Amino acid sequence: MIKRSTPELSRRGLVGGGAAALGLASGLLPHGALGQGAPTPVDVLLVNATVQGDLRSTLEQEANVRLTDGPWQSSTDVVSRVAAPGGTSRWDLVSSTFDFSRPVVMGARPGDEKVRPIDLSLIPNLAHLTDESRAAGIEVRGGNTYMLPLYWGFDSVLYNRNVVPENDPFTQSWAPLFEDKYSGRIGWWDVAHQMLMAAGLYMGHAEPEKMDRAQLNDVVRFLISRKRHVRTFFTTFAQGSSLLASGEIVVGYGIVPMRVDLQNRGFPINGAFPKEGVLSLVLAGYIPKDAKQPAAAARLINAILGARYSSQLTKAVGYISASKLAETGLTAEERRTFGYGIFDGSVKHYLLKFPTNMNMWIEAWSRVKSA
Amino acid sequence: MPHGGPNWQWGETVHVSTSRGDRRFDRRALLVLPGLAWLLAFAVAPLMLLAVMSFWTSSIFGLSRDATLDNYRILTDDSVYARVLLQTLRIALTVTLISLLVSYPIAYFLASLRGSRKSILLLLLFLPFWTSYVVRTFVWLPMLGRNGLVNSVLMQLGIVDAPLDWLLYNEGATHVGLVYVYTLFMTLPIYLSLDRMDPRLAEAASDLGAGPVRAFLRVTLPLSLPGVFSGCIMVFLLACGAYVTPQLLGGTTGLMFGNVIAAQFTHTNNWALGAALSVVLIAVVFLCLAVFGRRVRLDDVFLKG
Repeated sequence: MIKRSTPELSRRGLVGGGAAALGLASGLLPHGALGQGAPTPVDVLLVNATVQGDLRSTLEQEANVRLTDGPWQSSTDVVSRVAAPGGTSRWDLVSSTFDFSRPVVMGARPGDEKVRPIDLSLIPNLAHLTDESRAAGIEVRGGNTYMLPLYWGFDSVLYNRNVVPENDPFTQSWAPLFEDKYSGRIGWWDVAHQMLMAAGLYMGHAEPEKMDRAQLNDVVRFLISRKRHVRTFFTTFAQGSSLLASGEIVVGYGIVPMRVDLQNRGFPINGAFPKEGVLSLVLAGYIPKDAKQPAAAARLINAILGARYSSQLTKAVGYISASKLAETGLTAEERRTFGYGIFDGSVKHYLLKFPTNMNMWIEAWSRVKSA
Repeated sequence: MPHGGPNWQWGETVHVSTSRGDRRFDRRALLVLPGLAWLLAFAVAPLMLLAVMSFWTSSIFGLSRDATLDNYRILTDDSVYARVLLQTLRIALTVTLISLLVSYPIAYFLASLRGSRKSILLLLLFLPFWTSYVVRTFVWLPMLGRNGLVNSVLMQLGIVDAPLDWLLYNEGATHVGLVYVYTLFMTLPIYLSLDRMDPRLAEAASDLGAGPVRAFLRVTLPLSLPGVFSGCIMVFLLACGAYVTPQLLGGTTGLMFGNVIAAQFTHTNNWALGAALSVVLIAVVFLCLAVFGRRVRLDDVFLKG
């Protein structure tokens, strides 16, 4: 007869086992996760590449949230979604270009805001913001903070290293996009704001967003005269990446994530640091007025500005973190390559500002396209 | 009270007593209601909203309901929009004509077949249309691109030394793409017209001494005209609103009005101007239809084609 032993649950055993389990858990779980309870479900509208794979895991662990992300297409699209009926309750955290989004989400007068004040006590990593980010990406009204800088991107000329020499001074300018050296193999982004800004910078305008009608007409004439060198316009960055990857174009207007993505996939694509300046932009985070999880959204902002996520972000996507903590996880070479020089002045940049008369710019670009 | 009751059958007229006297009410009319409601909610109402929105004001803060004619004034002040609209109509017209030239022989051939061969070829005609419009357009990129199929073959055969750049990203490529994606809309109505035609008519013409060409021109072609007109109208309308094809294949010269409209909504947040441009396109297309309708009875085209 087999004697079956039945485990006995004594109080001492229970306490001992519990302590062991706690010790094991504290070794496995990220710092601060214990005692926080179940992850909070958070709906976000952030650049999708910034909340994928390891980046997503990091954010979810550090902020104790479970992310659901919507399709992020462009700052215009994001702002339209937030401004649409019901848009202020759909998302808990949204990100878009600071300068472009601010007028829309803040409204013309106090009380018109489509966003809510952010509880800064939940974001200790704010202490580590770079000075440039503090200056360019915080929106305060009536003593409340509504928008915070998360990361920087910049636009420049992307080129195929096999065709375009990297060390040529011609390459390190906006010239390849507008001159005839690579005629027939150039791609322009079909967006009025950025293309006219880039052309304005190249033509020597100190503050292109303030160009008057006559100056804008000069830029239009210039672009029309150079349009014959252009192979095609592209409307999405995926389309632009495809053109560069397939060799249809060897030079194109592009953003950092395009370059990093193509490089990660083994294509010989690099980005220039034009002597006239890259066109930089701050992606700001804000919490819509009727968000269901504002506290969790604030914790998420804190995680985005944390050391682990911010350096991961740069390596994976190419965005430059608004937090100084990112630099601790990057080598000097990585900081140089990814363009962290915009913070110390070693990379010239021009903050992409919104023109005062955008409609005039749209008409101008339409003239270029239809010429 | 209606004189219907449980024994009422479809088609039976129900008499309705009203204070103004007896009226006849056909219950079959109720079948129209779901479709009518759908059309009102998802076609008429959005169009009305579009028309109203075209008189609103877009600003950096979004859309406001301040009434203005500025959106239409921009269209008249800036010749760019008129130029693109004319270019769009021209492209739509040439695409329609090319589609007709391509589709008529296909439809004629299909209508002349019988049995399983006809079914198989009809299936093959439909096959590409089971995939999405975007994919069918995108497929031309690896075909006509610098490193595409056509250039590779030409270079391997030694016909050209370097890739031909002019195969893609121009107005010609837009034409190729549009003709390809709209071929079915032209072929199908022509095929239906030809297929319904009594073959004894052509035989009678032949018996009366007409040669094949004369029989075609005097008998077959006139009888297939409702299908031809139906196809032409459909392709012309679709081509006028084309957006994806010129965007993907058109390069810097194949711009169409649909791209200008889309840019207002997707890139510049100027919905009011986008709405005004849409209203203008709709009006111009209606005008084209009206002019066409003066020449051809549209009833024949849509109801008999």
